[in-house]
Amino acid sequence: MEIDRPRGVAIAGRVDAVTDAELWRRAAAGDHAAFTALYQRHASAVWNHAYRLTGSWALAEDVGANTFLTAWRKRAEVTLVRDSALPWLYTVAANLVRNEYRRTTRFGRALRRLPLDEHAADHADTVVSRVDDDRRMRQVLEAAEKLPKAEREAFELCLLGEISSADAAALLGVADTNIRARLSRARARLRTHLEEMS
Amino acid sequence: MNVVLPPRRELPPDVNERMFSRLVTGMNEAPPSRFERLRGPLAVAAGVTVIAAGALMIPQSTTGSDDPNRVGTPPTSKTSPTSRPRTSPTPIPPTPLPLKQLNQQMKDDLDRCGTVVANSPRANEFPPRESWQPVFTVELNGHRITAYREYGTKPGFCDVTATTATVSDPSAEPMRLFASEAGKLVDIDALYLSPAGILVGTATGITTMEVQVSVLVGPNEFLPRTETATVQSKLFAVHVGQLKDGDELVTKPDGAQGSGMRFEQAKVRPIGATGPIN
Repeated sequence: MEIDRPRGVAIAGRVDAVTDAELWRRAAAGDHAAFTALYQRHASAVWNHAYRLTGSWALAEDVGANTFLTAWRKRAEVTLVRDSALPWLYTVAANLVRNEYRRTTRFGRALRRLPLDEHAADHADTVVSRVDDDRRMRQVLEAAEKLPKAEREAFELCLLGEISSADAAALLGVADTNIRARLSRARARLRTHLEEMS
Repeated sequence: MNVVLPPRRELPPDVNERMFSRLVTGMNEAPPSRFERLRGPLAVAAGVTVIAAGALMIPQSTTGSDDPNRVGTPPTSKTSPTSRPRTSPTPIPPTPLPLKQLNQQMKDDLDRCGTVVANSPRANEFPPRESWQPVFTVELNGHRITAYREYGTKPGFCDVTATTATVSDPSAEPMRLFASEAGKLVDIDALYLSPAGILVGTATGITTMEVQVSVLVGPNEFLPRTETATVQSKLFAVHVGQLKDGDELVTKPDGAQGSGMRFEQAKVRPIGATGPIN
């Protein structure tokens, strides 16, 4: 069975005009093209989020691909609570990172020992900038590991993923004010942890 | 101290292509079931159509040739004045492993790959996991590749990351990197290029190998670098990095004159099976 390539998505009507929820409903019914359209729409955001969860572009590619693969396999079990699929995809990515690291502890440690991504052989300034980004991101992640679970969830969705507190609240099944309070506490703790680390 | 995050980036086309290729491969794999495993040949027919896009190399020998279209060591005139060949600062270290002292890590990785193969529609095309004998392992950028041979003969490569396992295509056509001259028995063939840019394959009749990677940075302007390969038990691994159309590879076994090839965007990525680690 073949499915459409990214540039050849065939969906009735303009893809831009179709909501995530509608694409998701079609994908759940087995429509490959609809899921491909969802991929096109969110691949860049998920890839960036995966980087912010890992501090490694090499891992981000792996986690990003696996996030969409997991989403495809679970498409029939999931109903989007808001229009955007992004919050749920972010949660899948976070679970993949957390569970894979926990389950494959030895391998996880090995990955953390990897040198900062150096294979982006661009202009020297760009390489330096990227290494700085990686180092800074890993510092933030190290500090975030010390957050309580509820605050870390809010941190990952709203600060790393930049989704609204309302969307995060709907996804986690809590009040918007609850998310805002978690974020406020998470920011304060992170600042403290980062100052201690520096 | 404020929490400052690195800015978001645009998804590079090559990364997008690799991510999408893996998704397509996974989407087209039927969920494993007893019935489907028994139905191997039918499932194989479906799986063959979705081999994802990656990279295709066109080998061209230059030894003793005047053909201007053949690729050899890039001449100085083609090379950017600012570019200098360099030796890879981090050659991939070999991990020799006697068969009787099977390293647990390699065994675990091969088991992960074996599970992915067993759940693949192409499972019948692979030799049984029990026949995979590890040769060496290399690790780079979150990918760990274990080379193995089927009862010491047919080679295969198991590529494991934190979340996925990928196995090279058992029926992939080898891509010739270096052809022996008459009377000599030196042959080097590439069999798998990992998403992390590690090229692996077979190498007979040699003990050392270097690959000069010339990255096209402008019209007729190349940035060359030299990478040292790991050669062990007639298999090799070398980090060539992410390549694009027009880049060149010159393979130099045992210090001999190189044989070159030009890289082209692929129609075929030699992946046999891939999937998440269960």
